[in-house]
Amino acid sequence: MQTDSHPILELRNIDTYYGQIQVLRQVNISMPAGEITCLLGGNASGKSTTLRTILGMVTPSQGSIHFRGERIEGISTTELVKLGVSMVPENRRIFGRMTVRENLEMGAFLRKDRKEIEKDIERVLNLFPRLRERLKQLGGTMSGGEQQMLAMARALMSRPSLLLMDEPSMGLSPLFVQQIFKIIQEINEQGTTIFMVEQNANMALSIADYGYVLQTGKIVLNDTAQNLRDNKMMRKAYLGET
Amino acid sequence: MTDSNTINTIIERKHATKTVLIGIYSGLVTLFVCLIGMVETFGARDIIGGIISMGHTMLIIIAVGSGAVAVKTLREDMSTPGATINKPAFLVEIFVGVTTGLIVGATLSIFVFATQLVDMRSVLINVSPGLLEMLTLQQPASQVMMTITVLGSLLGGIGAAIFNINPRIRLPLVLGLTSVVSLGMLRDMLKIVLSREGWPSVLLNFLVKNQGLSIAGATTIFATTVALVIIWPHLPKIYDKTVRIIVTYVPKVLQFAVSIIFTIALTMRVFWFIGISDKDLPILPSCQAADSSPNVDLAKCISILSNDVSTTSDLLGTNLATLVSTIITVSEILVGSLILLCFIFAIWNIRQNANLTDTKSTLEDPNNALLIIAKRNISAFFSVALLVSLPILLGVFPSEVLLNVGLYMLMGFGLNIVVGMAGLLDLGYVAFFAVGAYSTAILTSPRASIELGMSFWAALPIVVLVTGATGLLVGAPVLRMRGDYLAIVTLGFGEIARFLFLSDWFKPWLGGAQGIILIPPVSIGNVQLIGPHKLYYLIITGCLIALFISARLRGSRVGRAWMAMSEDEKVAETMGINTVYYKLLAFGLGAMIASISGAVFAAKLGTIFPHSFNVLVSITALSLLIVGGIGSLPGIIVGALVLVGLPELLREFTEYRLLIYGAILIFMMLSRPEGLIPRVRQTRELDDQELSQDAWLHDKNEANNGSSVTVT
Ligand SMILES: Nc1ncnc2c1ncn2[C@@H]1O[C@H](COP(=O)(O)OP(=O)(O)O)[C@@H](O)[C@H]1O
Ligand SMILES: [Mg+2]
Repeated sequence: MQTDSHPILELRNIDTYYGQIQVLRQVNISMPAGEITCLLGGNASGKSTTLRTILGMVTPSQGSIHFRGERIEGISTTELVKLGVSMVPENRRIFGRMTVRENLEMGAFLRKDRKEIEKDIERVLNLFPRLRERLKQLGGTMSGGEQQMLAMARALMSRPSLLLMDEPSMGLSPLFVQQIFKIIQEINEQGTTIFMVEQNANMALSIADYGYVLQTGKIVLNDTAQNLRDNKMMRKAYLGET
Repeated sequence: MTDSNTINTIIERKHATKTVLIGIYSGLVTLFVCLIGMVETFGARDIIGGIISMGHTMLIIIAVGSGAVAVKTLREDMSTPGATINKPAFLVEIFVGVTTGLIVGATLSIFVFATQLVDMRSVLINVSPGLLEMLTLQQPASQVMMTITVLGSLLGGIGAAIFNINPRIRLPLVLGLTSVVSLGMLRDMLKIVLSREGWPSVLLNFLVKNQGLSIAGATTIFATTVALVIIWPHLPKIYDKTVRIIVTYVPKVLQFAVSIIFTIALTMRVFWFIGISDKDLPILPSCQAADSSPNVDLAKCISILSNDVSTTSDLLGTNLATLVSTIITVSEILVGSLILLCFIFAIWNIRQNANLTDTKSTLEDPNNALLIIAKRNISAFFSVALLVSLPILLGVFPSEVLLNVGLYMLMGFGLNIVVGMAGLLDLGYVAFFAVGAYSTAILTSPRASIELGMSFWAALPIVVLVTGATGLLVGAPVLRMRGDYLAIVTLGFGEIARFLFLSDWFKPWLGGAQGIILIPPVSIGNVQLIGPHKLYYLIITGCLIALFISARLRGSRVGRAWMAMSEDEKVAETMGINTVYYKLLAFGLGAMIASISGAVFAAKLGTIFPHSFNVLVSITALSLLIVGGIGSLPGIIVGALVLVGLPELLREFTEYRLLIYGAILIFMMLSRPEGLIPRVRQTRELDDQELSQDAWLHDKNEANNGSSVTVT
C-alpha cells in the first residue's frame, strides 16, 4: 500500500545496461515525500546501479525518472544536486585529506549563504556530537563509523529534500549501526525524504515505511515495511530466519 | 645462554656484512668517478688555489661519506626495537668508519697499482697520466699505495667520528666546510660578480686566487659561516626587538618617509639599470675596462622617466647626476648587505609563523597585531628589494641563470595548478610552452608568414588566449581519464605538438625545422629589454603574478573544488561540483601561465626551433614540483633554483651535468620523498595520523563500553 503523499522521486520501468550487460530490468520505485523508502537486495543485485541511474551517472536505456513530476533522466549529477538531491555514497568515501570541517564545507559547495552554512554546520554537529570533537581532524584518520557519520553530515549540508543512502550499515559494528539508524530516523523526522539501499534488511525495515526487494535487477517484492517484516519469503531469504 | 649468543653473532655478522658492502659500494663509486674522467676534469679546478682541487675534494667527500653512511646505517639498525644494545660503542663506530675508508683507499690503491701493470688506456680512455698524477700526488705509484690506503682509513674514521661530536660544534663545522666547497666550486661566478663595477675590488683580490679561493678567503668564508650559524638562533629575537623598537619609537611619518625614499631610490636604480645599454655592462671580467662614465647612464635613465632625452640631460647638470649616481652606488652596497640580512630574517619569520609555537609572549603584547603587520611589511619590502636588486648586484651571466630559473619557475606555477591542485598528471606540459612561444613568434616576427609585426605587449593577450584555448582543446578529449592513462596520453600530446611544429605541412607558417627567426625583443617605452639582466624583470613580474594567483586560488572556491576533485572525482560530482568545468579550467589556466613563459622565451632567444620544446622540458617542470614538494608554492621556487639553477651554475662541467642532476634527484627521493619544502598540509596530515592512531585504541574501548550517541 502506497501512502497518499506525492512521490518526490519516481522510477518507471527502468532498464539499465553496462555495455551489453543488463543490470536493471523494469524497475519501478516510488519515494513518497517525507517517508523512508528502502531498497533491499543481496550482493550485485543492482542496488548501487539504481542509485547511479537516479544520479545520472549511468543513463537508463528505457523508462523514465520523475523528480517532483518532471522527467530528469539524462540530467547531470550537478543539476540533480541543485534540485535538492543528496547522496551518501557506498563505502562512505569522505575526503580523507580534508578536515572534518572542510568536508562539511564541501557538502555545501553549491550554496553561497555563509551565515546559513555556519548554522547548518552547527545543526549537523548537534546531530553528530562525535564529529564536533574532531572538527580539525583529517577525515581519512577517523574510524569507519565516524566516517559514515561524516558522510551523512556532509550530504545534509546541501539541505537536500531527498537523501539517497547506499548501504549506510556496511562494515560497521552493530552498535554503530544502531546509532546511525537512529540518526537516519531523526533526519527523516526533521522533514527529509530518505531513500536507503541496504543489505541489512532487519535494520532497514525497522525504520522504513515502505520497502522494495531487488533480485538480479528485478523488483520481486514491494510492500509496507510492516508487511515485509511479516512476509514468510522475506523472513527466510533476508531476515535470517530458519 | 647459547641462544642469545648465536643471535648476537648473527646480528654482528649482519652489521659486518653491511659495513663491508658500504665500503665496496663507495670504492666502486670512487672508481666510477675516476674512470668517467670526472676526477681529472674537476681536478683542473681548485677549491683553495694551489692547495686542494675539486677532484681531491670529491674523493675526500666519498671516503668521509662512506664512514658516515656506515655509522648511520649501523645506528639505525641497532636502534630497532628488540635489539639488546641501542647505540654502538664509540670505538665500534670508529672501527666501522675506518673499515669502509680502508676499503675505499684499498680499491683506489689497487687501481693505481693495476695501472702500472697493464695499459688500460686503450679501453678506458680516461685513465690518463693526468689522473694518475692526481691520485699519486706526483709520487711513484709503488710508494704511494700505502699512503692512499692509510689516508682512506683516516678519512673514513673522521666520517664516523663526525657523529660523536657535539651537534653544537658539528653543525657550524659541517656547514662552514660546505660553504667553502660550494663557493670554491662557484669561483668563476664569484669572480664574474665581484669584478663588476660597484663591488670593491679588494673583495675580489682577497677572496679569489688563481684557480680557486685564497687561503685567507677560504678562512674568512669558513669563519663567517660558523659565526652565522652560531648567531642564527638569536636572529629572530634581534629582528623582533628591532621591529618593536621601530614600531614604538620611530614616528609614523618618518617610517613612511624612509620607506618612500627607499622605494623611489630602488625604482630609480632599476630604471637606470634597464635604461643603460648592454655595452656599459661588464659581461666578463675582461670587458670591465671599457666603461663609460655613469653620468651619461643616469641622464639616460632620467630621460626614460620623462620620455625626453635631450631636454632632461640638459636640465640636469652633470654635477647633480654625478652626485646622485655616487649616492646610488654607495647605497647599493649598503642596501645589498642589508637586504641579505633581512632576507634571512624574513625566511626565519615565515618559518616561525608556520610553527606558531611560541607566539604566546607576542600575543600578550598589546602591539601584537601592529608588530606582525610591521614585520610582514618589512619582510615583504626587503624580499622585493632583493629580487629587484639581484641583476644589478650580480650582472649579466648570473642573471641569465636567474632568467632560466624564472622561466621554469613560471611553468612550475602553471603546472602546479594542473598537477598539484587539480590532480591531473600532465606530462605534455611543454606543448603549452611551445604554443606560447610559437604564437608570440608568429604575431611579432616580421619574417613570419602573416607579417603582423605586432609588439610583444599587443601580442601577449592574444598569445595567452590562444594557448588557453589550446589547453581546453587538449583537456576536452582526456576528461574521462585519470592517473596513468592521463599521463601517457598527455605525454603523447606533447610529442604530437613538437611534430606538428616540425612538420612540412605547417612549414609555410611555422617554418619547420628552421623555426621562426627575427622575433623582436620586448620593449618598454623606448627601451628594449635586451639581455637576461633586463628580461629578468619581466619574468620575475610574471612569477610574482603567478604566485599571487596560485596563493589566492588555493583558498578559494575553485581551489576547494579542485582539491575535492583530485581526491574523489565521483563524490565531488555528488557535491555538485561540475568536474568537466573545473578540469577544463585547470588545463586552461595552466596553459595560459605556460604561454607567458613561452612568450618570454621567444623574446629572449629571438629565434625558436621545434627542438627546444622536447619532453625534457615537461619532465623538468614536473621534477621541480616533485623536488620542491607537490602542491607547495615555496617548494616550486626552491625546486626551480635547485633543479634549474644549480646545473646552470655548474655549466662548465657540461659532460656531467645530467649525472649530477640525476644524483641529486635520487638522493632527494631517498632522503626526502615529500620534497624539500613539503606542503604544510601534508606534514600536518602525517602528524595527525600518528596522533589519531594513538587515540584510536582509546576510542575503540570507549565505543565498546557502550557510549551511545546522544540524540536530543
Ligand atoms: N561500471 C560497471 N561496469 C560493468 N558492470 C558493472 C559496473 N558496476 C557494476 N556492475 C555490475 O552490475 C551488477 C550490479 O552492481 P551493483 O549495482 O554495484 O550491485 P550492488 O550495489 O547491489 O551490490 C554487478 O553484477 C556488477 O558486476
Ligand atoms: Mg553496492
